[in-house]
Amino acid sequence: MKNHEFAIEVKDVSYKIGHATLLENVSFNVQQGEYLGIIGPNGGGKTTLLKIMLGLIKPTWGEVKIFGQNLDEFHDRAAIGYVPQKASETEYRFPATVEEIVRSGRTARIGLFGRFSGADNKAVHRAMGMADIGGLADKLVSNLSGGERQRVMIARALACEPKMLFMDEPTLAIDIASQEKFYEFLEKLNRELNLTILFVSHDIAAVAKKVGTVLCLNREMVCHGSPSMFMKEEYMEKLYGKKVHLIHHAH
Amino acid sequence: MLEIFKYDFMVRAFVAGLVIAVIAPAIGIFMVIRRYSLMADTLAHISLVGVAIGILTGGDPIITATATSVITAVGIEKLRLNRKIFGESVLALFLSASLAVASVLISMAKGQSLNILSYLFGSITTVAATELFFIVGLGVVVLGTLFLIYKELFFISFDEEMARAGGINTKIFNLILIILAALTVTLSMRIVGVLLIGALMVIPVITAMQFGRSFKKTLFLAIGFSLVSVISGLFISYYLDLASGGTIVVVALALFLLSLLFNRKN
Repeated sequence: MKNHEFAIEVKDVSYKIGHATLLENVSFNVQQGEYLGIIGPNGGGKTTLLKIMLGLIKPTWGEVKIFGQNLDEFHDRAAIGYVPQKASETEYRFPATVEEIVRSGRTARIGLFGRFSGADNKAVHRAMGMADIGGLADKLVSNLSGGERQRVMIARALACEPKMLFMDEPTLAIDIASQEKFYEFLEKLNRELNLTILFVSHDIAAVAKKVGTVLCLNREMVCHGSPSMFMKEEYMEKLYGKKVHLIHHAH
Repeated sequence: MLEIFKYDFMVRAFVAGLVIAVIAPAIGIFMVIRRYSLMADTLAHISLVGVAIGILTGGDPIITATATSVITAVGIEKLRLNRKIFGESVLALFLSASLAVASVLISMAKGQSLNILSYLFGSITTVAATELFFIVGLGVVVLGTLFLIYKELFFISFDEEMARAGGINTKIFNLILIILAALTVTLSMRIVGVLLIGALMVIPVITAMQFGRSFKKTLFLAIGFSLVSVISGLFISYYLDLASGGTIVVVALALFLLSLLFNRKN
């Protein structure tokens, strides 16, 4: 893969269903190694935008480039890790161990008809180690807590050794006490692996403190820049449609 | 040698039975975990239309049933993908419609009702040598394909959206799975019968799931339960002169009830 300046380029992307506009003229770039938080109200188009960037849905207009290539022509799908919304709500009767689930994340890297090699097994165990679930390898995924399942899903996304990690509301199933640890884990991934992270959240406070760049979305792009930039009342009003008074505190 | 194996037709029934015992739960596990258990029954009813066409036209019912169920399976998948009808409603539609068409065709084939009964409930005495080659050949194709695409099917079954994001062509693999299911159903007709094949694809799998093991171990356990059901069912049906399909499924059901007891105890 060539070393492109931008991991993602989104240009004039709109998405409509019937007469309803879910996204309108959204344009922004994400640099390699960037840690981007996408925030906005419910129904603001965050998940839709994420799915468009992943190629799961096609935009009505506009184009998306991944590592300089149009999405349709981008075939190195193993470079992308994805943790979907409600990933922790795994079907509780699914008969599979943590290791089997994490191993499945390696499928895109191995390719059709390929078999798991020693290198694949190492990558799977490394991903479980990074997500701190090495001790759970033989446990049934259905017997884990919500937070543990979330870590399994992240380990699965990391098992294919991605260059980019997309996460949709990853902290929904994690209790507040564990959230701080979770954000530290993401920061570490971003810092040590130079992993580009795109993170959808409605948790403004967390996003403001943790990410490097923020994209505010309410069907159209409200702002894009550093976290300190978006904590302004004018942007909050555009995002949530009401006058908002911001109270800054140390915690 | 046991008396049962002195007869060629019983040897053929056992060979066919063993092939079916392996492939039915191997395909069935993917149907069960994707909440598609009703698919096997739907395909079985569709294959009955194919059997009726074969009998009416003088063709080989196994071949006409295979062609009918594979073609219709593709149609089911297309209809399911267009999302205008709920997935389970698509199955209910095909299940009842195919039974209606089959009953009309069967009523047109006067004097052949006995022949139809052997497909409905299975008849171990009717597996011809040519059919056995067909069953074994297609069985190898089904198992071989499953072996080659196992990791993709597992990935899709656990999370289809993530698999799509990972570049897996889920449409193609879903189509392959449904075609494999259609082939399994038609292969099993002679042994367990159209009305009971769904049970052999589902019961050993849910029995194995009671033991809370990994996916691979659950798969092998399901095949084990299926083999025990088919082998003991064929023995019992031969010595007690019972319908083979029904006996096999009753044994499978007994194993399921035992597994529930095991689960409760643990």
